[in-house]
This record gives sequence, C-alpha cells and structure tokens, in this order.
Amino acid sequence: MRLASLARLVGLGLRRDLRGLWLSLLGVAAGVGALLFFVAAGLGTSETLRTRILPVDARLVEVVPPSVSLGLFGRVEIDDRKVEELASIEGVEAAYRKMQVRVPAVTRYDGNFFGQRLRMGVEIVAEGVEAEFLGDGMGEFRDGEGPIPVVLSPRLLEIYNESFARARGMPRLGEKLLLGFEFPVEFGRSFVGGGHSERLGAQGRVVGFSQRAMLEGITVPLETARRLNERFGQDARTYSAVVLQAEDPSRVPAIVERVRESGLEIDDSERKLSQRVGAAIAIATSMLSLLGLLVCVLASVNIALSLGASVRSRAGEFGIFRAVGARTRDVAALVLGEALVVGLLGGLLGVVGARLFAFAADAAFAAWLPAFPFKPDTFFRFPLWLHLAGVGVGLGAALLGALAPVRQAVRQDPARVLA
Amino acid sequence: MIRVEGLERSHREGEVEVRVLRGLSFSIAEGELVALSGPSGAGKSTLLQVLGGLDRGYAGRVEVFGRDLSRLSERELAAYRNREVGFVFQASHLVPGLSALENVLLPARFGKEAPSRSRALELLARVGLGDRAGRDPSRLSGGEKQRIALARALYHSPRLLLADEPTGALDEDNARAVVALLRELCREARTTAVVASHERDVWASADRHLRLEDGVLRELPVEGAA
Repeated sequence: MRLASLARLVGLGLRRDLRGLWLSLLGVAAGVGALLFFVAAGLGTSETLRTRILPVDARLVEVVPPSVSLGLFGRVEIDDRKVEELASIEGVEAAYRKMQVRVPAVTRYDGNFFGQRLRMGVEIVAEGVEAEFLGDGMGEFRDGEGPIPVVLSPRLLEIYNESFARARGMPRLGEKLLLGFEFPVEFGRSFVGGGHSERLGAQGRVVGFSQRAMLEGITVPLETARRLNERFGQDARTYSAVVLQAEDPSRVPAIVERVRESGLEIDDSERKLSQRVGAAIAIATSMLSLLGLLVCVLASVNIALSLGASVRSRAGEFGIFRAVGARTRDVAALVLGEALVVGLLGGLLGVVGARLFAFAADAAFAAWLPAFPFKPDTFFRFPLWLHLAGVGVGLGAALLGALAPVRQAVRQDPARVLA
Repeated sequence: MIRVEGLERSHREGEVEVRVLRGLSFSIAEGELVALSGPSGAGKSTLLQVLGGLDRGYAGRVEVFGRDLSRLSERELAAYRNREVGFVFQASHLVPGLSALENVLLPARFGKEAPSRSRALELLARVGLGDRAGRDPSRLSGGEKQRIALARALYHSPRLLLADEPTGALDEDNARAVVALLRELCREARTTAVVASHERDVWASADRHLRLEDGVLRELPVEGAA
C-alpha cells in the first residue's frame, strides 16, 4: 500500500468520528501535558538549586585537616608539601589552596550607602584563596598596597537583596553596582569576644562575584590572608583547606579514597545538602510525574476502547478493503496509523498545553508570591529532549491503546463479514 | 479457465458442523457469464468467496487462470483479488465518507500504481454516473450505488467478476438496468463472470446456469430455467 493512500484512508477514518477523535486527543494531551508540566517543574527547581542556591561543581573535592587526630605523630596538616602530594594524585587537574584569616574581624559602616544612611557593625569572616580558583573576571584580585580586594558570593547578595534590604527598606543592589564599593574592616576586633590585643584597620574593595567565593564572609587573596595571619602571629604556614579539581567527575571517588588514605578529610557538607534537597525534589517530581503517566495510561485505555468500537463498526469497510486487495498488514497499518496520528497530535497538544500552563504558573507566581532569596524568573525548564519525550509518550500511549484494536481488525474474517 | 475439483467447505455452527459445499467439481471457460442460483444458505456466497480468494478454509482444488489458489501466499492472494478479481455484493458496500469517485478508486489504493482519476471517471461515465463523481454514497439511490460498486469492481479490468445477488436490494427497473449493464460490460471486455442471483433475467442472459442445492451443484439449461 502506498503511503499517500495510507494517509488518505487514515484521514478518512479519523474524520468519521470527530467527537471520538477529540476525546482521544484531549486524553493524550492531558496525560502528556501533566507529565511534562511536572517534569519541567522538577527540572526548573533542580536547576535553581544546583546553579543558584547550592551550586556544587561535581569535579571539586574540598580537602580539610582531620577534625580529630589520634595519630602518634601529631595532627595531619595541609602545608605546601601536602598540597603538592595531593596535586599529584592521579586524576587531579588542579589544587587550589585556602587559608582562613585566623583573627576576628568586624566592619563598621557609618555613612551613605547607595543613597541611604547606614550605620551598622557586623562581624565578618575572611578566607584567602588563589585567584585562579575564582575564575576569570575578578579584576585586581591580588595582595597589594591599597584596599584589600574582596570577592563576594552572588548568593550573599541575593540574601541581602531579598531579606535584609526588603526588611530594612535598603536599596536593592546589583553586582555591577557593587563593583568598586569600599568598606572599612578592622582586623583583631570582635563584637562577640575573642578579640586580639592588636588592631589593624583596612579598607576592603569589592572586585568581583563568584559562586566559588565563601557564602558567609568575604574572600580575599591567599597572600592577603597569609600576610594578616603573620602580622597577628597566627599560623601562616598551613592551609585551612585545599580544593582539588578532578579531570572529570568520574575520577572523584578514587581521589576521595586517596585523600582519606592520607589522613585528611573531605568537607562535603554542602554537596550532601545539595544531594538531599535534590533527592527530595526528584521524589516529589517523580510522584507528580506518575500522575501524568497514569493519565497517559487512561488515555491509552480510552484509545483502545474508542478505536476498538470503531473497528467493530467498520468491519464491513475492512472486509471491502480486503476484497479489493488489502492485505492484513494494510488493515493493521490503517488502524495503527489512526492511533499514531491521535498520539502525535495529542502529544503535540500536550507539549503546547504544558508550556502554556507553565507560562501561566510563572506569571501567577511572579504576581502573587512574595519575593524571596533565589526566587527564579521561571520555575520550569523545558529542554528540547523533554518536548521530544512528550511527543514520544503520546505516540507510546497511542501505540499501546492500538494493540488490541489492531489485533481485532486483522482477525476479522472478510468472508464472514461480507457474506 | 476456472477448474474446481472436489471442493468441500464446512462451517461450524455451535456444536454442529454444517457441510456447505459437498465435493463440487466444475469448470468455467474464459469469458463465460455463469448464473448461479439456489435457495438461501445453499452456499452460493461461500462458493464466490472461495473463487475470489477471500475464503481459504476449504478442501479440494480450485484453479483459476492456471493458478491453484490454495498455494498462493497472503501477498499473492491479495494481489490476485486486487488485479484479477472484481467483487459486487448485494449490499453495495460503498465506503461512507468517500465520494463515488474515491470508492471507484479504492482498488488502486491497495495496489502498487498511483490511482488514475481518468480511469475512474471513465468507468463512472460508462455506468451512467459521470455527473455523480463527487457525491457521497449516502446521497445516491440503491441502483446508483450498485452501479458504482460495479465500476469499482471493474477498475483494474479484472479477468473474473464475482457478483453476489447484485440486484437483490433493487426494484425491478433498477435490477434490470444493472443486469443489462453487467452483461454488456462483461461481454465487452470478455470478462469471466459468476453471478449468484434469484433473478430470471440473470439466468436468461447468462451463457450457463448452475444451481447449487444442499451443497451440490447441477447444471440447468439456460432457456429452461425456472
């Protein structure tokens, strides 16, 4: 049977029962639409978590000294020799050192803050890192004579904008606006006790933002941290952590094993939190997606019933087709073709429906949900594969529903039907 | 040439097996128009379906134009029905939703070649319905439907035409017109035809008259048929 003839007869068969066709189409569309909507919501939420709330680079392993040391030879430290040793582990592409500023520090601001009067003091934590660790675009991120270059986490800015600024009526700030902003820092002083006898006043200058900067403090050049620790008589030799960057994520487990063998520990608290939240999102998405799949199964049953009824009522027609030269596989192709058209159109309709519902949901969230840190512009993500999968699920549901009617159609005895 | 030897066909009706055709043997020469009569349930339709390759559950030998039908594969049998046989049924069995023209083109939909509208229009004109090509069958009279069914059966210029009570649902005038048309078209194309019918007109216009009764076939003289 030629394809054009098949298409002509399939179209004819579908036009015969337009009400049934619409019911089947809407059934498939509802199932596919619900499935895509929930999967896209899960993907969107996961992406926000992964890229903005708890950004975790799967290639990074943060190595820290052991919290408890029971060794006979004292505590295992991370010094330059240890860093070299760690960097030589197979699969490690780069090793980045981190050193905390081991004296307390505060910032006391009293003046104009982007058009608003601000008077506040806050305890701050500082950590020194290598410029390469933060990536490009950090400006003058090196220790020098002038103000201390500071890199902030964009997450800190988000929390300021959506919590502090909103609650205190302070201006909301963007990253570009903050570049070059200077603020006073007093090292050796603490509001909560444990201050140093010496004080050192300095200026900090924001030179960039990086997801790799510390969330709850300021990130300064490694040499600055070393210099400050030396200045205050603190340990300026050992590092508080070293971040190993694996060649690819698959090398990470072996690297972790080697690190642990060397007596050091892995700080994966953020990674574990990200995994736990990610798992919770995945479970919720799966449960909701199951609802969508269930609707698809019901749509499939609906197709089976309506197509089955259609096949029964068209027994004479199929008998004539056989009498004028149709083979059983031609009849099967006709029934299957009708089902696949329903699946294809239903799948496409479902994809369009899911996108429209997602658009409406985003608009509703934007209008009615209060602003909060990390609130995304969209809660949904629709990659190309999801669209294709939606159409595929529609076709699959139709195919499943067509199995029994196809069997029924090819089993009809034309001799009996036409007698 | 059609040659049938020892044709047996049974149907199971509940627990009982009914022997519809009981060892029929006969032959039909190419170009002959054969009338087939017999009471209802005698097996006329079954015999036509066996000859047309629609019914394969028989015993015996059925050879049509030199080919043993029982030896044909499903594909070959479908091609045989498509190219060499034309069926006309009592109920015209036109496909609703397809125009008269599309119904005539139906055999082409299952063939290898592209459908020929000109051939279909020529046939419609030949059966006197050239002006009804775009009509839906639901808007045609019984006689018109049967003429369209005849045009459809002749689309591929079949060598064998099998008609099962083609005038059974028609009034006398329409029946006479359809029989005349059928005879004329078959004679023109030297098509072999087997027409099952209760109509005396059909018996009288045939080359031969076979009567099937209790599963047994006997030949009657054409002019003396009653």
